[in-house]
Amino acid sequence: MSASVLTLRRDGLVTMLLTSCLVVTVLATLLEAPVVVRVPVAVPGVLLAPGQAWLTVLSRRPDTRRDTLMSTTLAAVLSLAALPLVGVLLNSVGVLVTPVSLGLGLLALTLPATILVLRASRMAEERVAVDAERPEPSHRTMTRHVLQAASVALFVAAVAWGASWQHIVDTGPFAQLSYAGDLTHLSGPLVVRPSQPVTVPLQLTTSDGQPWVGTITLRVDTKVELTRAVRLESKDVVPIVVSSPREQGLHDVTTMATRDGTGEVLILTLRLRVTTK
Amino acid sequence: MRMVFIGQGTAAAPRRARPGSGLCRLLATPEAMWLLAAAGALIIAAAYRLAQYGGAPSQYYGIFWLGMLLMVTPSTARLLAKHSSGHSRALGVLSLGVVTFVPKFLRNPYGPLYHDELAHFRAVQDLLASHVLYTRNPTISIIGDFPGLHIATAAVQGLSGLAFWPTATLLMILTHCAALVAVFVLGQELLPDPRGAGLAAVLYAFNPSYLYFDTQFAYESMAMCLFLWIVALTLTALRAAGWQRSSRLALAVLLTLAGITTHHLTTLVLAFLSAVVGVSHLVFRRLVPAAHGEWRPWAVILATSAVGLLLWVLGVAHDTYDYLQPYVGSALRELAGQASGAGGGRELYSGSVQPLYERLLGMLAPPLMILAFFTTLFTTRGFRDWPARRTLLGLACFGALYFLSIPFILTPMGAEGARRSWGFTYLGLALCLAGPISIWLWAKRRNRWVIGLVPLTLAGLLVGNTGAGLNDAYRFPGPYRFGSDTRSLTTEVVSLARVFGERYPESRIVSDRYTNLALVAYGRAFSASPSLGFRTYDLFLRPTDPEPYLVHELTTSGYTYLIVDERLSKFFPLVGSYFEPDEPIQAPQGDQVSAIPQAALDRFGKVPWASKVLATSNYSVYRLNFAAVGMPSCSSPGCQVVQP
Repeated sequence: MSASVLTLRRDGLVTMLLTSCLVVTVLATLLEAPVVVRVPVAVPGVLLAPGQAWLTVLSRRPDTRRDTLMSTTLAAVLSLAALPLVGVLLNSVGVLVTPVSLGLGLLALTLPATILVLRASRMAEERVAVDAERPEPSHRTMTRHVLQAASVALFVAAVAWGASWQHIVDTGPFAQLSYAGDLTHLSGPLVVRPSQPVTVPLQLTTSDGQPWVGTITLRVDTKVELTRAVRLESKDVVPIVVSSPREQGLHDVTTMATRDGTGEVLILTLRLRVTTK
Repeated sequence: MRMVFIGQGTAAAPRRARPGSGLCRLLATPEAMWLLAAAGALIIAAAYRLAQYGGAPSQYYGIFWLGMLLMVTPSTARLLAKHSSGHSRALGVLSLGVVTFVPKFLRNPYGPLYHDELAHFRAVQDLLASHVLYTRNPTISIIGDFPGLHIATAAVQGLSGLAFWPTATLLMILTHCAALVAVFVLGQELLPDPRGAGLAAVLYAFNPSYLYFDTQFAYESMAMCLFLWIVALTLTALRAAGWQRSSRLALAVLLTLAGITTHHLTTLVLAFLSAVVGVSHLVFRRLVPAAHGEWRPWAVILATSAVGLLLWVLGVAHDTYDYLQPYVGSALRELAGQASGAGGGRELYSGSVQPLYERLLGMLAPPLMILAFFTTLFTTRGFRDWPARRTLLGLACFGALYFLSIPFILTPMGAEGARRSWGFTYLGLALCLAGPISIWLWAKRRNRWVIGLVPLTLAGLLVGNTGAGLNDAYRFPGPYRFGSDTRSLTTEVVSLARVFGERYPESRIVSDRYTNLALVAYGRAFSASPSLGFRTYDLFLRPTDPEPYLVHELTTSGYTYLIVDERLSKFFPLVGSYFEPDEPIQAPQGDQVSAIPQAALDRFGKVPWASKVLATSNYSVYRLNFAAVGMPSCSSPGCQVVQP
């Protein structure tokens, strides 16, 4: 079989395989298949199939030669470039730009080229009836390839190991105090009646998941209304009840959470508008 | 297609690798190359770890460069080796692309970290959530209008099911390597010596932006790859005929259209490059009478990029001019101010912990390039008798812009633009220098003694150029630093942002620049963009109630949360600004540690218009409600409200 026919067959096969990957990707996304299934097909399907198909169409003249690495790179760049164009086109005609719509757009772009490539590949095969025997790779070549693959794997492992040493800046364990329940979406002064019991639900969270142990103090204006020693599991909510002042007008309720050991103080504020209306 | 593909140099190269000189041959074997790269990656990771725990800069810089040189040397040797085949050199380019991605990958393997990365992360999340394009980004207002990268990332992320950061990393390594392959293809097409193509790729890979800036997850990184492939395809179209010329040009036009949707500045630079090279074809056509009409492919790209960008700006990205203009205007004003001695400049390596050798090499690199550039132009008599003379002269004109950009590095606003230009202009420099240098080095036996200097010069160029790029806080991890884009992003603020996003999704917030970055990216918040017309920083500067006009602005725009980093009053930001670059805030004087008074921060806990609803060790979240407590407001700047 001539070299150009072999190339066409190989290109046809590769294009078909990559387009199949794209089809499977879209289907797998629609069916919400697990990541382990989608990644191996989505990466070549999305990042190679469209470019590979159109490059093969454009270079199927017999006088063209291709370097695999270079043309694969160009195929990837073309596929990458196809994504924004498809996205902008979808958006401009009012279609929501979802991963599935983008996948279908890519398919619409890729399938015609794939069909052209397959047709050219079949016509070329029909012209040459006898299949040429492919030379078996020698033992030495195989060993070399295995060694190269192993060295690349070692490099990837080293990079991954090195990556595991890096982490985001950590200024140490921290605690977080916030309102919970009805007060989570507090938007301004809380309107209450004079001497009305007010429940203040507090949530304490620690970054290391350890229980928060300390003292919670509630002041109304400057007067300490309540002091309680607590031990809370991280993210637990503790409701504290205080009475509103008798005097009408705006009053400040200050919650202080003082952690044992570190002495760290976290403060929340709440305004009460005491009114008889 | 020969195009893509194999340049003239490769055709002359031997098909299979033959034994070369001892060390070069050993280094260039794939096994040695990857094993040394593995060792280099671990050394770089160790340098980062040392930096993270507050090690001495002289130590971690030294270790970093040891690892880096270990990684790049085998790939470089493979590219420059005499007997490398075309395929072997191509693998060398790919491996050089991969290993030069490692430092940035190891810098933040856990997630987005750089300022622009966080903004683009938010843009991708917005697209995945809303499924519509052109959403306004709170951090960088314009990036929503150039959604190419966001569409690509959202598609791969959504279809593969991968998390955001692995997807972003995958795309970035792809564009990073593909960019270098494009330079190599250009070298093969333009330069007579196959080693010249390799040297062009190496020189380009050692430009100041390639290692860190153009590897960040940002639209210019993807656009840079498209830009280089557009130039490569246009050039191969120019050298082909008939069907092949049309198909290559069609692909270049397709990439140009994708580039328009991805990045404004890259498209502008592409139009400029096309114009320069096209004009050089027209101007110098008498010098090389053959191959008339070679300007046409460049004219097609010029027309596509210029008209396409104009239509895009008119139809979609209306704010492009307003976004870019201040950079250009301020840079020119600052440069003029410097020239007239009025000041307004910036001191190179000011406050930098970079070792002396890196700074010296950083300052030596531009003069070295100037010397090499003009020497090659002079010795080759403007590439006389070179087949690609007119293209090379055009690229030389384009590359010479690198030298014009150097003075801008002395101005605060100009430095941003200059840094962004190097990735482009180095293409011209790399291609114009690589050909003549490779011929001069390797064609004549008497020049062999100079070859020993090549690794040293290249190493110096890599060290110096990288040092002239991003600063220490971007390049290396380290302990917490207030007011640094990268080292202010802590586990605490990210955790706060996530909790804030769950509790108060899509809220409008007022905060400092560094807290905003995290809250916008991880908390889906919309941050206020402070300016002279929207002086949100006034809330932090004085322990007084805000002016009625600011109250009006905050209330009517729906800004309901104020997030305060309690360290604002304890430190001056590393970057030099608390809220935005043009803020009217003086640096602290004398014993002052910060321009933000503690009293102003303490006051938030006492005023009736703010309720502290969430507190962490260093951050406080206040819910604002001016209307509920009858805060006076009025709708024109400087207005006064008469108290009842």
